[in-house]
Amino acid sequence: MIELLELQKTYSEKTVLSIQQLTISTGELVGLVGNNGAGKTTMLSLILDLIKPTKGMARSKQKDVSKTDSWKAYTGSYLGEGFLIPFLTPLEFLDYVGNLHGKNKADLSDFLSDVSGFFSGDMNAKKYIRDLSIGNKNKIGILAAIYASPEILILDEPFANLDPGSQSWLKRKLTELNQRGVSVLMSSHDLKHVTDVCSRVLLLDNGKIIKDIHVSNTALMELEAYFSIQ
Amino acid sequence: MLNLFLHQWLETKRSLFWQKSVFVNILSGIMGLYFLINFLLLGFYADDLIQSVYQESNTIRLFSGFILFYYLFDLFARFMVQKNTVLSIQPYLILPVSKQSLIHYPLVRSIFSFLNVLALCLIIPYFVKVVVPGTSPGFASSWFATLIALMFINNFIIIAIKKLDAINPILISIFIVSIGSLLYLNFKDIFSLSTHFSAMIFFIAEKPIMVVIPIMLLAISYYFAFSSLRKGLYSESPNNREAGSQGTFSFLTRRGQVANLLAIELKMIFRNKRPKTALLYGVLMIPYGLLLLQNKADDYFLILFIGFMIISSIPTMYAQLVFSWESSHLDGYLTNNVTIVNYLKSKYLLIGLLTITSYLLALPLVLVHPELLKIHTAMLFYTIGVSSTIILTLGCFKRKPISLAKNQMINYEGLSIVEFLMIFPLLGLPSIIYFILNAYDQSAYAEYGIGLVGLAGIVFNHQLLQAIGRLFVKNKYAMGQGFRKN
Repeated sequence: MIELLELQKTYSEKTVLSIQQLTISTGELVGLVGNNGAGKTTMLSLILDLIKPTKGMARSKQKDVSKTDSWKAYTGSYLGEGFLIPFLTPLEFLDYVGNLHGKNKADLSDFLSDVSGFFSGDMNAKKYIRDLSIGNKNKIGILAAIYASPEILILDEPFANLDPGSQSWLKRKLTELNQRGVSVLMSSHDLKHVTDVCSRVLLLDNGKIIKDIHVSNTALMELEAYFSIQ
Repeated sequence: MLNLFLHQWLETKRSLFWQKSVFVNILSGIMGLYFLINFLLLGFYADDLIQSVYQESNTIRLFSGFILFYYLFDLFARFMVQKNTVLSIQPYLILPVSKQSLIHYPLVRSIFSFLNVLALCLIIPYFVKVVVPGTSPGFASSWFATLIALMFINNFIIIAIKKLDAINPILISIFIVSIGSLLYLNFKDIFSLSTHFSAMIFFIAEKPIMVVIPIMLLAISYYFAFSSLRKGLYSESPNNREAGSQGTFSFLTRRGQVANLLAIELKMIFRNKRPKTALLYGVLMIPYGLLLLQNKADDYFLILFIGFMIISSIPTMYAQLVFSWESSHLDGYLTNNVTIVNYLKSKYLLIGLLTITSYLLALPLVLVHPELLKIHTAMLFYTIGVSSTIILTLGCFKRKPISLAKNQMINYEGLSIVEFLMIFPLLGLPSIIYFILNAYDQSAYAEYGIGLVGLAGIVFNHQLLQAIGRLFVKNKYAMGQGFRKN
């Protein structure tokens, strides 16, 4: 599904990401962990063609993402507020994204009732996105990414700023989507969530993948040892 | 309070603004200096000027009357330009700083604003040169105190008014119209407001005890500003307005990508301050064009220029910021299921819509000057076909984010040298057409030439947009990076 080939990003002499070769296959649920500044967001931005690689390329379904728009049709993503349109109401925004993927009003109301445990449309219908709290903004971004019926979902710290109930809802949702064949790539600081949900965990350190773990019983301990959590 | 001044100074000094827009800073610095010097000279030579026009040796009474007009202008200028000093107040609310001083601070600070300095530049030279030597110390000091008090009353009233939510273009128009008619009555000697005004100032100045009146008014205006700021102290925004009711453009939402993007951009215009004010200033250029036509109705080249200005000022005022309007959410546009060419097409359509709007708004002008019809039509084609291409092409070099919530007036945010240079190709091409035809003594056909070039641009718009799309793709990384520095 996603392939990174000799991908490198350098900012004035400092290499922030350097990946020799990485393949994420269809149907994988991959977690990306690492300290602040390890290069997680950089890696996701490169896959979404938001920044230009210094060397190498990111490919989606065998196509270089910087050379084509075709990946946009099957990729749902949310990396931060810059993905939201601040002067729309949440429903308008979801409708807009759905529209770009050929969905209609009926699809939207189905979707909203499906996700009512995560985000209540009624409660925030009368506000613009710019006036929502950070947590609610995150929710809208994540929902828009899911609503696009993606084949691959790319999320940057989706659990950040969410209340506990929403975190567990999102975990269930991601698992459910994955079981239906959606590939997921997400970064997170919460090792527990990552090992609970993901089938594979990548550990980034100074722009390099230093561990590529298939989640088993020992995965959490292995990660905790790296982050020196007592 | 001193600490607050220090922090504001640091905020200004360390602001990214200085590092980012050197060019704009130098330009506005020169402009400011230019105004100051002009006002100083005007203040210093006011008595000679008045004497030469009115043949009156005692100019103080007339000068005092003219000051009224200056104050009216000042009030208007402040309304358009003056920014309420905002110290990001939140960090201080939880610190042991008294709430009172947090409110007094921006008020005290506003005393040193540019427009106040400008007014002082006008009053002080005249005061020193004419009033002090010519009148008694009691008269001179209360004259001065009255004028200064009135100036600061303007200052504080505007602060209070700017805090009100209910400012709308209709109120502004009413204000402008009433001032205009007062000026008209005044200069036609039907009702001389300025005479009454100077009589009032003389009344105060001749009985120095009366100086308490302006000073009391000043205190009241200060209190007025103080209480309006106190109401806005709490950080929760007074956002009770129901969202989503303004302009839904639902008829556009299910008609493909381009229409969808156009609907989003129209919503952006209707729901944010900066695009709305940008369009307002574009609209104001149309009556301005009429005013220019009154004086210069015989020079064909000038009429062409005015036609260009009338038709293209709305689209250009808005579209010069092209992709910056999306600076807060460009990442979303780049990752969503939108092709670049469709994004550009929606921009192109919007420019077209705005141009047609100005064409329609300018129709009354055509009724007054029928010869404008052909020029306006040529400029309509030119703006849609050619200006749009130039604007979109140069827009690919934008790197600066803007905030949608701010006023357009005296707002250099997001502007760079690109916008200043934009005018050369926009205006250059029609001029070249005119001068080429003029060289062959066929200048009367310039409007046809300009219209034809515009039509060619419209016919080839698909190819042009494809080419701009390639340029956009090359520049999108740098643009995105710049916009993310919000």
